[in-house]
Amino acid sequence: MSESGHKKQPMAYQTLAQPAEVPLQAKSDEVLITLIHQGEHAAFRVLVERYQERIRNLIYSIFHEPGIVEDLSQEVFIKAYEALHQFRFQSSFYTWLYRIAVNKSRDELRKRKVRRWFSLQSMMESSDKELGAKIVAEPPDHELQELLAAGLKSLPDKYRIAVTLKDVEGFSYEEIAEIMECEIGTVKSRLSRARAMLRKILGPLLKEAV
Amino acid sequence: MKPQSKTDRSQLLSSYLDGELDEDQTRFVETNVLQDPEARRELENLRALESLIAARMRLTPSIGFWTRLSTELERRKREEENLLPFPRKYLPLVSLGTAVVVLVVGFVLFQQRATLVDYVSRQSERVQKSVEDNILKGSLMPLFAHIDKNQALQFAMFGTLPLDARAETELRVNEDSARGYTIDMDKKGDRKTPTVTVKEFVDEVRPSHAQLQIIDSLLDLGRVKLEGSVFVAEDRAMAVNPELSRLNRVMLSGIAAALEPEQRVRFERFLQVRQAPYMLSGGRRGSESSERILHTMRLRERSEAFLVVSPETVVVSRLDIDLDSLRRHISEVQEVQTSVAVHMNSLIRRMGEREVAVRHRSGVPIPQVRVVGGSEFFSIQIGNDWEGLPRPSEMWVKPRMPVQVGTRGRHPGPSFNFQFNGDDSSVFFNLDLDSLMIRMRKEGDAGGIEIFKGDRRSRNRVFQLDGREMQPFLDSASRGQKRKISKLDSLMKEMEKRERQQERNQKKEDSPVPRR
Repeated sequence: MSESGHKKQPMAYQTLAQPAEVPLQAKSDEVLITLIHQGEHAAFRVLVERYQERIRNLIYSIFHEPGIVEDLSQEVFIKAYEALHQFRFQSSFYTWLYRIAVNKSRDELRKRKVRRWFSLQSMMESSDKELGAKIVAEPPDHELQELLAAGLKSLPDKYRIAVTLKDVEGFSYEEIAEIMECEIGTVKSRLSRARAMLRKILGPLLKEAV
Repeated sequence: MKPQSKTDRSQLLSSYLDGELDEDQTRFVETNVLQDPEARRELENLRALESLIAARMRLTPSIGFWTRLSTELERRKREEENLLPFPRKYLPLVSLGTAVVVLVVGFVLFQQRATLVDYVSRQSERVQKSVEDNILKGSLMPLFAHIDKNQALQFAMFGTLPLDARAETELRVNEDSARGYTIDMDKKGDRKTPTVTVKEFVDEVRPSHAQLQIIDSLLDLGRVKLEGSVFVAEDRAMAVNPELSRLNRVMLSGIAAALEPEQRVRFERFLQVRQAPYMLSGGRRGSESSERILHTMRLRERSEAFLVVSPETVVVSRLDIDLDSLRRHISEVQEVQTSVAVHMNSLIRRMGEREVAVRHRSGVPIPQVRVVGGSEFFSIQIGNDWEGLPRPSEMWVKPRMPVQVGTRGRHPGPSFNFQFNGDDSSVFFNLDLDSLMIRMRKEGDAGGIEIFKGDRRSRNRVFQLDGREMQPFLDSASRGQKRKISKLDSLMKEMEKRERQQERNQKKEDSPVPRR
């Protein structure tokens, strides 16, 4: 096959040309997905292990409730598993996965708005589950972190998700726009507003930190 | 480049911090930060915030996440497979098969739609029949068993018939041209219905012998129709022939058509004096032939559509009723008439303050019918759209519902007050000469004085004139033209002269034979 006369192959087919002895863990997301499409379900485990912590932390950053993290993360991966056959390599897998996570979180937030009365019970339950999800790498100023968590929680959902995706997960504006299914300009303004609101809430503490 | 506001600056600083600005914007922000201490302070705050968020609390890695997830995936897969009665791999094949079956069945149903519609219609009719049979169970008795000609004439003129021997309750037919017809059954209370006899009619209208024979046949046919129009069942249901709602007008039209113009004038006076709800409108037309008059009153051979009313429902049904056998039955059992009245009163009570809509039958157009019940009455409202009912002729009889027409033009005040019933055959009008006089005086026009010469007798009187004669005067009145109005005065005087002549002739006829 001459290279010049043919269309560029999709990334997945190119990477499939890697030697067969490369362990699954070393293969790219695209190769793993192609393998899943071909019936090798073991490849899904590699994808899960690759992204499970990032997804769990994303959900924790959005909800600040350790109790919901396990269930919602599981739902995100189940949804991804069910929808993988529709994945057409038009975006990167991790952006696609984050979009599922953000949408699942939004659904949960929406449900909570509908049944606000449930929140108290949920908080009580979550305090029990906290035992199973201990917080490590506790920063030196634990109080400041708690205030930050409270500040983030007070933000509207769309602002909180934008700040989390940018400052915690380090996504670019373009990626955030893709995950949140909005324009880049909207991402810019959401981030700016979220930060302004956080500065207002945490004002004195930030001065000290500076 | 210059930020427009504080918000713009914040957004630029935020994007600068994220490394999302192009070269120009970056240079601008850096310069601005150097020069503006407030911008510098904001940027420092944003950096502090970013590092604070980045150094957030993180969760411990989850142990056994994959185990739990794979267990859950397995469980769901098993659950899904248990729902399917065949191996999952056959799902696409089964789906395809189902789609093909649905398409084939759909195609066959579409091909056979006429048969299907027919089948559904037959089933629906069977259900309808069973409902109707159920409603009219028990003996069916005519509500009006022995109507005489006086009552038939009374019905023709006023649309009323007594429901009991003491005439405390009555059936009343009303016409409202906009909404249709109503058949009311209620307690009479203080309402007085004028009574009328055939003798009074003959005395005042003076029909010839031939005319009287036609009218007699007409009243006889009307009487038979009335007797076959309302039936009461033992279970307090009632069947009403909707033709009843128009019958009185049809009868009255027939009577009017049998008369000559002069007799019609007398008949109109006869109706007017008794405040009948209808007025005559035949103008100077001659009488019609007996065949034509009796044509609309002919009795039908086949079964007729009846409104079957019960406190629960109203249905339209064709009923075959052998009226002769029913009448024989009633004449044999004297108590039947009393029991009919009891059932009727009971039905009125049970209808108590409810509104029953007519049951809808698929494929059959349902006329506008509403049955409204009160504590001591119920009313059947029948719209104008009921097909097959005789259409009362507009030529001879019209509802006495005058339309007010005033003059328009330079004088907004009422000068004329015409009452007419909207067609060109005749016009009834009330001429208010007082208003006209005031108007003429204001204008200072001596030409109008002439009109006052005959005003003592003609003031506010009602005349019947041919519409074609009247139209120019109506037009001139609306345009304020006095010449034609003065012609109207002459016309009125002519009319008065004619009336006086008729009165004199009448007196001559009525006076005893002079002594020799």
